[in-house]
Amino acid sequence: MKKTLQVINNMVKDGIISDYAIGGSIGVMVYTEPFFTKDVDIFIYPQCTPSGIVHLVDIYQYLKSKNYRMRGQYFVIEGAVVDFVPVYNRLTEDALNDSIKIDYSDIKINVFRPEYLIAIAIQTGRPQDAEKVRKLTTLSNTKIDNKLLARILKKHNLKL
Amino acid sequence: MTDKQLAQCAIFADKIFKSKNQMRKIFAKEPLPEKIKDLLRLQDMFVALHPQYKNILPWRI
Repeated sequence: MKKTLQVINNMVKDGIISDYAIGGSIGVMVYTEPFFTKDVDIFIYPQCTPSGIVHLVDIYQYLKSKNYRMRGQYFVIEGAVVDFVPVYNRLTEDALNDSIKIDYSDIKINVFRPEYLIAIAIQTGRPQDAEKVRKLTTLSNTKIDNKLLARILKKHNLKL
Repeated sequence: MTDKQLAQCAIFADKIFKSKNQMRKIFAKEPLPEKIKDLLRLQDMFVALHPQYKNILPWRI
C-alpha cells in the first residue's frame, strides 16, 4: 500500500492532479477498527477542458504510461485497486479542501477528516454507510470535533 | 468548482458507485488466495496507520 500511495503523491508532484484525499472505507479505517474493503477511494478535483467538460484523461494516460493496468473502472497500482473519484458535490469538495495530512509509514498522505467522513456517509445513506457512521461516532480512535461536525451537517442539510 | 462542473461529476460519481456494486460481485468470485492477499494487504496498511500495534500484537500470519 505504501508504494501505491507514493504513486499518488508522485501524481501531485508531477502535476497530474492538484491534490487528493483518501475517503471511503480506507479513510474510515484511519480512525476506526479494520474492516474489509477491496478498493482505495482517492478523491480528486477533476480536470476541465476550456469549454467546461470535466474529465480524468491525464490521470488515465499518466498511469497507463507507467504500465499500470485497469480492471473495470479501477486502476491496479502496485497491487492495490484504486478508484479515482472526482468530488461530486459541495460536501465532498469541502471535504477535499479541508483534508489533513497524516503519517503512513515514512510518507505523508492526505485523508478526509472524520467529521466529513461521517457527513458523507450520512449523505450517501447505504446500509454500509450507516455502519461507518456508527464506527466513526462510537469507535473512533480520534476525538470527533462535534462543533465542526454540527457546522458541516447544518451547511449541507444533513442530520445525524 | 462551478455548479455545472459538479453536476457533471455527480453523473460520473453515480456511474462509479453503480460500477462498484457490480465489481463487488466479481471480486466475490475471486479465488481464496487472492482474498487472503487482500486481507494481508489490509493488515499491513492498518499496522502502517497504527504503528503502535506493530510490536504488540501477533500481527502477521
